Amino acid sequence: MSCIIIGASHGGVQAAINLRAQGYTDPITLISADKVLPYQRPPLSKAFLQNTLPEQRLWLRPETFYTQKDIDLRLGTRVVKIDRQKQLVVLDNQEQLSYSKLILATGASIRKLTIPGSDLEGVHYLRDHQDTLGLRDQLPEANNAVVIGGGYIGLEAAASLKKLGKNVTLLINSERPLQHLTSPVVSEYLSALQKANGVNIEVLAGATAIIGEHNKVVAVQAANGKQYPADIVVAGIGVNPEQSLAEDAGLAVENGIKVNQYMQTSDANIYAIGDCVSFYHPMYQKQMRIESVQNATDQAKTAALAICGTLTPYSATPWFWSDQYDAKLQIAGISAGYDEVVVREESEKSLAVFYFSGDNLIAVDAINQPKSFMITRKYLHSLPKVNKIKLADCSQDLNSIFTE
Amino acid sequence: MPNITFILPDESQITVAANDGDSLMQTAVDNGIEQISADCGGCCSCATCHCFIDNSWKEKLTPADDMETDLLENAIDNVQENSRLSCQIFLAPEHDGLVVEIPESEW
Ligand SMILES: Cc1cc2nc3c(=O)[nH]c(=O)nc-3n(C[C@H](O)[C@H](O)[C@H](O)COP(=O)(O)OP(=O)(O)OC[C@H]3O[C@@H](n4cnc5c(N)ncnc54)[C@H](O)[C@@H]3O)c2cc1C
Ligand code: FES
Repeated sequence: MSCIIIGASHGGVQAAINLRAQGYTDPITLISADKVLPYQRPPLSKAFLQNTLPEQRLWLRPETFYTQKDIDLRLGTRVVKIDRQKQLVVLDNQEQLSYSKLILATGASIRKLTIPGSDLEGVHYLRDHQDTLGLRDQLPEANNAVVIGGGYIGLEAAASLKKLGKNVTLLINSERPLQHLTSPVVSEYLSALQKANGVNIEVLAGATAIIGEHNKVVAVQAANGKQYPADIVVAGIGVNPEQSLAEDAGLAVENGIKVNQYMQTSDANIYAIGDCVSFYHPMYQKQMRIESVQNATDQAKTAALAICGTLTPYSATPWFWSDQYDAKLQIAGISAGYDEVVVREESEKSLAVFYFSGDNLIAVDAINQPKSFMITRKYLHSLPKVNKIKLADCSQDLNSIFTE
Repeated sequence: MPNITFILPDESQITVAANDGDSLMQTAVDNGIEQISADCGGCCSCATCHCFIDNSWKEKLTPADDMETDLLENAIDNVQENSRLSCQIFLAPEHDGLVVEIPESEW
C-alpha cells in the first residue's frame, strides 16, 4: 500500500497532512515540479511581491515537518505519465513509482499572452515562486509598469507595484474589473481605490501588442488606440486546469478533472483535488471548478478521509479573500447567477454586498466588514432566506437577522 | 526565545522554543501542530488558527482588534472568553512560559 500525491501546493500538502492525521501509516510520496519547499501562493502577488514577507514565511510547512510526518517529498520532479493498469507513475527521470492510491493535485497553469511581443524580456506572470522572484529582480530598474487583466491577480499586482512606487497602468479588456466575478458596486469600489492610490485604470482597453526595443519591453498597445510606456508588463489573464496527465490516462475531464463527491475520479484508485478539479457542488447544484486555497485544502481533507475509509461528501462553503491597499475583501459563496444585490454600507470604507437568487442568499463580498463575511459563511450552507430590508439596515444586528 | 507550551486536543503537551517576533500560529505550524491549519496564512480571514489562552496572560498580550474579535465571535461555535486567533499574537521574550490550548479542529 502507498499513496502518491502529484503536486505539492495548498491541496497536495494538505492531503498529505490529513492522511497522516487520519492515521494513514503506509508510505506517502509527495511530488512537486517546483524546486523549492511547498509554499503559499496568495502572497506571491501581495506581501511577497512587496518584499514584506520573508521567504521562510512563504513555506507552507518547514522542511523538518515532512521528515517528522514520514512524507517523502520529491522536489523538482515532474510526473510525466500515469499507468493505470500497472498502478504506477513515471517521473521525468524515468523512475517508476507504484501506488495503491493516487491524488492529483496538479492545480492550474497560467494562460500566456498570445499577442505580438509576448515573449519580449520584461513580460511577467504571477503563478509560482520563481515568477515573483523574477519580477522582483527587475523592479529596481523599472519605473513604468503595465498590468494586463482585471481579475484578482491583476488588481493585486497593480496595488503591490503601486506600493513599491511604480507608475502603474492597469489595462482591462472589459467594462470593469472583476466583471464576471462580482457586482458593479464592488467593481466600482475597487476601481476607485486603485485610482485614489494613483493607478491609471483603463477599461475596454485590452492589450493588443507589446512593443519592444532591443528585445526588451518599452510599451503596450491597447485596444483603445493608446500606447502606454512600460519597463515591465505583468499579465494576469487567467489559468487553465492542469489536467493533461489525467487526460492522457483516459480519466474523465471537462474543464477540470471530473470527480464525485468524495473527490474520486473515474478511476476509483485516483482522486483529484483543488484548482484542477471539476465537481458538482451540492450547495449550488451545479458543476464547478473553483480556484481558491479553501477549495484546495477542504477537498484535500475530503480525499484523505475517503482514502482512510470515511466517506464524507464534499459540500464545503466556498470562501476566498483578497487584499488591495487597505481594503480587505472577503468572499463567501459563489455569486454567479445572482439576480439581486443588497448593500450594507457601514462606512465609506466598509461595505458588504449580499447576492441573492430570488429569496435565497447565495454569496457575500465583504470589504473591510469581516463580520458580514463570517456570519454569512457560517449560515450560507442552506442558502438561507434572509430579510433583505434588515440586511441593508446597519442598525439591525446581523446575527439576529440570520437567526430569526 | 520564549518557550511556549501547546496542549493538544488529546491533552498531550509539547513545549517548543519560539522565535521572537513570530506569530503563535507560525510557531504552531513550524512545530507540526496540524490542528492549526492556518488556511489564510495569517491574514485574519479564516479563523482556522483558533486557540485558547489562559486569562492570566491577558496583560502581556496585545488585545484582539476589531477584525479578530469579529472573526472569533462569528466564525466559531465553541468560542470562549479566552479565545484568540493565534496568527494575531506575536511573541516576545516576555511570553516565556505561555500555555496555549488547541481545540479540536472546528473546520
Ligand atoms: C498570485 C496568486 C495569488 C492568489 N491569491 C489567492 C488568495 O488571496 N486567496 C485564495 O484563496 N486563493 C488565492 N490564489 C489561488 C490559490 O493559490 C490556488 O487556488 C491554490 O494554490 C490551488 O492549490 P492547488 O494545490 O490546487 O494547485 P496549485 O497551487 O496550482 O499547485 C499545483 C502544483 O502541482 C505541480 N504540478 C503540476 N503538474 C505536475 C506534474 N506533472 N508533476 C509534478 N508536479 C506537478 C505544480 O508545479 C504546482 O506546484 C492565488 C493564486 C496566485 C497564483
Ligand atoms: S490563520 Fe487565518 S485567521 Fe489566523
